Amino acid sequence: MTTTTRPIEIQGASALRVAPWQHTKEQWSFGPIEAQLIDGLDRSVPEDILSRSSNDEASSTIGPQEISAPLPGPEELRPRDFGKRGLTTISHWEGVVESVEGRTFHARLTPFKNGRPLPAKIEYADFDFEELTESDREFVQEGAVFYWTLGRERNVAGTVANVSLLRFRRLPALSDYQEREARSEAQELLQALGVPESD
Amino acid sequence: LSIFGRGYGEAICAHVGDGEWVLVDSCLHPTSQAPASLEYLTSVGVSAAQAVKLIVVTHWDDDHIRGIAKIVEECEPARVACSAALGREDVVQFVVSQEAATGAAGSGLDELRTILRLCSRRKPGIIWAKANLPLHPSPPGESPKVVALSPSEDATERSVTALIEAATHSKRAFPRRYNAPEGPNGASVATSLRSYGVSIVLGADLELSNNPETGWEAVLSYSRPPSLASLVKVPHHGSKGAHHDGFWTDCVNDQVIAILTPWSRGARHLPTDTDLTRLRAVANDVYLTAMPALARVEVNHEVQRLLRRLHGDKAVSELRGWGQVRARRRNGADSWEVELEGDAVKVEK
Repeated sequence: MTTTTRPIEIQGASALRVAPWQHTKEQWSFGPIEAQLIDGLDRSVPEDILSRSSNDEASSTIGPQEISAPLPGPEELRPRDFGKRGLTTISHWEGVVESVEGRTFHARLTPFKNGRPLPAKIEYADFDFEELTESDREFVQEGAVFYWTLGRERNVAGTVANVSLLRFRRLPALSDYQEREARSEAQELLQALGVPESD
Repeated sequence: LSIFGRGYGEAICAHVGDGEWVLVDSCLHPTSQAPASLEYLTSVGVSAAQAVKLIVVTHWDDDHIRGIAKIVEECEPARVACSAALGREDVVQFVVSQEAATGAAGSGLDELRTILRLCSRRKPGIIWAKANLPLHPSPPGESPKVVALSPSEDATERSVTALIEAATHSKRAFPRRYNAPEGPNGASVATSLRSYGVSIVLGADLELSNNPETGWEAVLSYSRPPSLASLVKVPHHGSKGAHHDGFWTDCVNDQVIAILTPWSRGARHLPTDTDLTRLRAVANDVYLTAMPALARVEVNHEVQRLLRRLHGDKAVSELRGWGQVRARRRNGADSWEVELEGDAVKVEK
């Protein structure tokens, strides 16, 4: 990528909106190339400092500069209005895909009651791929975990609709730190437990 | 010996004499949600914390491991035996790292992780079970009452490799189980119980293999029980893939009784009618802890209405059936007395 402070010409932009020091070819966006053109420049700066500048054109950023373009004011953030949006859960399950046959998958479900799983209850149901969002379909594989919620959704306007939400769990890849931690604990556990003897 | 089971889940309580109990695997009671083995011991007036000497975790499939961490926690003096396939850094690292992936309902990996952590704080740690290893009592000392028949060294290596491959290639929605060809079943811990001259084989989920160095082929070659078994917990829910003719002709006596637990995955279930026919041909008596049945879940009117409106005729089915087969044999007796509880049945010829 080219890095430059040269002003960019914007098609259709009025020349009047360009800062005065951006007018001529001899001047650059960081200021005029002639130190004496800038008001308030410390005249005590020896000339040779300017000449030692690494800039080929002996220009420098020393000295005060003024930006004539107006700075945008702070943007006012308004609280988002969600209206009456909400979801009332009527029934909820955590499921595990047991088998996939064509465009259908069979799942083992653990029902939830009052927000808590009932692991001793074992339920089953079949689902079609069409019941999933496009992005969830790639997750359908044996052993994958998903959540199924039946409920009533209220939109911004307050309209109530029955909904059945099927969402497959997404897990981020383990970070290097998490992997190191897991390896470290594994080593500690095996040290404490003893490694199996080989024949 | 008591075997509990439903369509999904299996637990075994075995009294090996002298007030010593061995628990193999675990499942939850469908109504109390507590580990079935602990409930049973309490019901017969046995203090699990004092009487349980050994807990065997045959493998880490969800249907064999639910509630076992609770058992290990409550039976602190008991030794815990796990498949040697688990005692590798890569595998333990994977089990630990999956903590972040835990669902609210939990899984076999969660139970396993808890067991490893509990045992790491105890002495003498854990027994990494493999073929021919005495599990109880620990050597040296009296002759072993519980000996591992599997996994073989080869099965251990294969299982580790498969598990690591499965872990490495798992997609973002992590699998809870590993379905690699030589996965958990291949490395599961089948055991032989020997007490007062009586021999029992608990087959875990050990299956056949094309490789003579693994599965039941390896048991028959390298770790065959020294005496003929009079009772067998049928491996892998009676499936054809776990039936070894040589075992039933060479390792059991002619009065052997077979007990099995069912396994159900929706419309698919074990044992099938063919499996039961095959077992009836090789065992004197066959008992099943429950005939699994799927029934439509009774949901309240509101849920039913939503299901009908949003999913048409979609049915949420519930697994029913729960039973216990209790086989007892008095010292010196030559046959087993079998009692059935709940939905347990004797499979008629």
